[in-house]
Amino acid sequence: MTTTEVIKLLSIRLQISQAEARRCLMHELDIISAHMSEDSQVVLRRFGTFGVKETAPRKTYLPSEKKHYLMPARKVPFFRASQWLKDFVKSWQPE
Amino acid sequence: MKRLYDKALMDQIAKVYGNEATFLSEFSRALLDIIREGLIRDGQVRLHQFGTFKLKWMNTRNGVNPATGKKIIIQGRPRVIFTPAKGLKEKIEPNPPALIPLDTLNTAEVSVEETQSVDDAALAETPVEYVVEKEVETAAPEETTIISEEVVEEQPVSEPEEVVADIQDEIEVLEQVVDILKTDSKTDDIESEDTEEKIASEWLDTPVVDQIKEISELQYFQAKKEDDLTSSVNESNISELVKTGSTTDRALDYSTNDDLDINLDEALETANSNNDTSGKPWFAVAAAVIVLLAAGILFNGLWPISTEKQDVTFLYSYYTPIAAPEIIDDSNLVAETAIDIEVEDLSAAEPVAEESEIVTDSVPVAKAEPELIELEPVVEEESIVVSSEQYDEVKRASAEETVYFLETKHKLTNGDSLWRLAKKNYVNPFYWPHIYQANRNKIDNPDRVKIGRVVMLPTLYGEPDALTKRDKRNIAMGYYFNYLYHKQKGNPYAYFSLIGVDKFDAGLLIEFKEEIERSDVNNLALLSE
Repeated sequence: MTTTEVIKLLSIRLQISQAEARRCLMHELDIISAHMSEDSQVVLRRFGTFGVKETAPRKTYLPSEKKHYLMPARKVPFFRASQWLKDFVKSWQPE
Repeated sequence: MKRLYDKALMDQIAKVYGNEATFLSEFSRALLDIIREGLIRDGQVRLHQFGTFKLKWMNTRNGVNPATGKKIIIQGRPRVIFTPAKGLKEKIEPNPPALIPLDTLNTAEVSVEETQSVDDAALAETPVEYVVEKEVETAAPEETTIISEEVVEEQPVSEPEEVVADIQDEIEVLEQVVDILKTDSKTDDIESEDTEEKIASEWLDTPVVDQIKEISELQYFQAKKEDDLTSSVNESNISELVKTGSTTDRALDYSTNDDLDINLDEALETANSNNDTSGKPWFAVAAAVIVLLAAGILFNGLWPISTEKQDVTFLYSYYTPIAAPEIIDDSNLVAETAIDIEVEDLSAAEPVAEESEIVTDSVPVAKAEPELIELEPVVEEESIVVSSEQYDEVKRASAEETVYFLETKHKLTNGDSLWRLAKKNYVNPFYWPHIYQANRNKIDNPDRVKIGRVVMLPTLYGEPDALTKRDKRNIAMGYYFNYLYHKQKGNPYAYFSLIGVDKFDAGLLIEFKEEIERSDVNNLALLSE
């Protein structure tokens, strides 16, 4: 499922135009990402939590340059599924 | 840590949109619903500039309960995975920190690696240059001496590096040396590439057989010279080789190639002139060869053996595939036919799934939300109708001229059924009434045929994808006869076979209006709704 399909379904369910559905979707995702950039978590009921975690610095090796580098600590976004979503998804099986 | 729950999120959205807060709470709820359903339907939901939610199946595995220490079987389950998009990453970290190089810690390792690579390059060069020397004979020795000097210079530099690597004061000096080595290696690489390209161009110009001849000759002469040199290095041996063996034989064999002839003539002239003047150049040749050998032994031992092996493998890898395919041809053909059959079977299996959906009149599979289901069947039905009509219109004209399947006789054996025969011969098993309507006097019960009876498999004029009008009428007749048979038996579900009549030729329903019961037609109408 892609963004366009999500917007189409939203417009049908809420009986609004697709342009409006797109505007609302982008606005909501913007708010979530803005909170994540401020190091705060966003908890959505029956879905999960969005947040940011820091990775430890580590050593890397670039084979193209044949040199060792130090990768400094970085911020990485994460999503943790809630128990409700895990139970909801249980019925799914791969093809 | 600060946490924002969905109620606070609604408030924030409401700040922007004012009175539409209630609507937006509905909106976000609907969004989460759609994402959940999309995960189960497709296995993944991709949101632009945000990320993708994906389901991954974790297999069953053995585990241990840490509290009790007992062994458990952890059953397989799906797991939700979120991979952030590039846009989200950039929002969270607009200026990612750059990599910090660790050169100061690892200079010793790097320098050792580089020196090794230089050694390899030198080894790779020497045989190539040696071959060139033999072909051109007298012009080469100056070049070889220069290269050998370079090689000798490089080696002592590499040894102290390993010894001194621990001392921090001399690291700067080593780095300078490494820089110098880099420049040297680069220039060497360019030279070797040039020579390789030349040789490759010569290889491409000459046919395969000539190439093999050349290589065998070169190997022969290399071996000869090595034997002589290892036993005793004398002027007389080398001069004999140059005079008698190498030059004359080669001139005969290379008579076809014009470019090489000129080179060889020049080489012969120069050789003769050198012999006339004095023996000094031969000292140079001998010295060069000795220096080369010494260099070869110092690096990785005896070099000529390894190079010969490389040449041989190179030759066979190119030579073998020319002869091989003649033997393999038959097996290839068999394999191809087998693949074709498999493909046919697959193509036969596909239409079954499509038609089964149509016959059951798209009874929707039970799902969590009814609203989603309303959308899907509409799209599918449209696509099917359009495609079949287009196929019919395009292929109807051409299909009537050529026949897809000519009529044949078939003796029924164990395991035969009209369904299977239709699937085998007409690809689509739903065309079985085509056989039934042609053999009504021989088949009493279409569901159970008797072994040993000879059945006529009628012709199919159009292709299974695009049937002609005649075929459709025949199949519809078969479905109609099937309806009559089941009606005689008193089967209450006899009207199911009228679906086939309706699909293939709806005109028959009007033709046999009097013989078909009205209640059955009503049932059919209900089904189609």
